[in-house]
Amino acid sequence: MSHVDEGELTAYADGAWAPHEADAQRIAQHLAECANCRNRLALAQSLSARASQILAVAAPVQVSTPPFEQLRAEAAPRRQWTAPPMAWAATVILALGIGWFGRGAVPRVDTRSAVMDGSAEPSALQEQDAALVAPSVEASASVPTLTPAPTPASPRGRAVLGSAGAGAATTEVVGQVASAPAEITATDQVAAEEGARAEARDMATGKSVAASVPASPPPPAAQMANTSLAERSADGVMRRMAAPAEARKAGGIEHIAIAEAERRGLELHLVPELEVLRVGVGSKGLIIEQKLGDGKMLTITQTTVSPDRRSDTDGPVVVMRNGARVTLAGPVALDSLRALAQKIR
Amino acid sequence: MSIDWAQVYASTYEDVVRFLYRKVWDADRAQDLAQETFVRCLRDANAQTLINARGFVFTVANNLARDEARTAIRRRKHLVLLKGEAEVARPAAADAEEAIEREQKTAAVEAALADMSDRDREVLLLWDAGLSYQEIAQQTGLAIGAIGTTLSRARRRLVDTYEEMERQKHVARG
Repeated sequence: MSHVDEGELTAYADGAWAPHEADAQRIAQHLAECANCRNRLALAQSLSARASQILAVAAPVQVSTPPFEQLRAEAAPRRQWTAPPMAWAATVILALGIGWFGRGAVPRVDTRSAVMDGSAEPSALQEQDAALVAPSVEASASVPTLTPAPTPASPRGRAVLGSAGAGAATTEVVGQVASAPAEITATDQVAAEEGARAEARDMATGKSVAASVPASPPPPAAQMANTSLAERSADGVMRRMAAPAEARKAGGIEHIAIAEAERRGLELHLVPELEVLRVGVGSKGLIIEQKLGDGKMLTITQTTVSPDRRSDTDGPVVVMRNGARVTLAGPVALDSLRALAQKIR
Repeated sequence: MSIDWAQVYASTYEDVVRFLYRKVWDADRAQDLAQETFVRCLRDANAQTLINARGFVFTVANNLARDEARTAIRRRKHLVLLKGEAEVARPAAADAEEAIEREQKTAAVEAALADMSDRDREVLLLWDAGLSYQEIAQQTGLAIGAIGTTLSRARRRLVDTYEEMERQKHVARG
């Protein structure tokens, strides 16, 4: 007679089959007739028990399950800026060089120390933000690869977009760091990573424009929203920074619904026909989240870029009608990305 | 068919923590990740009518653990100091011995687990987390008929390696 192989014995010992199933019956019958296999079954069972015993050693000593209500509260939609759930994790990042929003003029602070102070603290946030804005082209449906956060030493002088009067022609991303280092550090991550490097170069080459309180109204084209925000900031940057605790916790990003965004007169560049989930208002610009369907989310980051800045990403670059550059990256088919870019135009 | 997440949570939370612990080897971190796992499950609009909630939970947990591994290097730089401080506060002598013993045994299990193939280890850990053969097959992509053989091999490897290490330790002690 043919004996039962090891895999089947193990399955039988583990109760992989219900007793009434054909396989279980076949094996049971054989075991009734074969002492050898009965012995082997006993060995399989003791092996299983021993393995369980050993594994039990490698377990946390005390695990208390927090109450479910606490979990539900945490999962509620009002959460601050965190990485989206796994099913929403396929994101497309668009860096649009269009309007920008600043916090108004603030005293220049030592950006280096500001960054150092803040870098250790909201590391989780940084990672998650980096994950969202990382222009990675990884083709997976899980949480995007976390790109390394920029080192604290990288020049962050460009952090805040404070200068409304930053020259008529260029839409330079230059400003001064607001006096809340921790917040700025986290919001630094808000803009595309590519922006950081390009802007650093701009700073280094002296293309940056130092700014104080905006003396003249900002350039008309596509700067409408800038005006509104600058006005809000101009009369009291401190007030803006004393924004709800929520914004502070999120590292300076204030989340508002689209209705509120419209009420404030913010200029949003959206993909039409896609539901807007929420708008994040940070010092660097806006983050707009739209629902793509299929459990995917579209993240549009609106900041300024200098017109001749090159894209560092691998994705396709689309030059829009107003001269702005749209850089696409993400685990979405290239054709889809292009189609989306077209829609924005 | 909507999922009763409260039920799934209550019945699998500890398993998820243990499962994650054997990936990150840090009890606190395992708990954090377990919480995060369930938060994500709750938030996932598409996950509300799954047929196999438990399998989904472990998929999410697995992904979190994998991403954890990628950020672990950076995180450890911050945590190194914290751990050093924590070790200063030593428990009472008897407890300390027990804790050390447990730590060493855990390290042995970790080494034994590392000593087998990724697939064998994954199947073993999922089984220990309470998943059925069917669920394990689904999670790992293996044929259900291969699960028994894989488990048998993985267990054998675990036990042999672990017991060998324990034996050598005692020999060294004399």
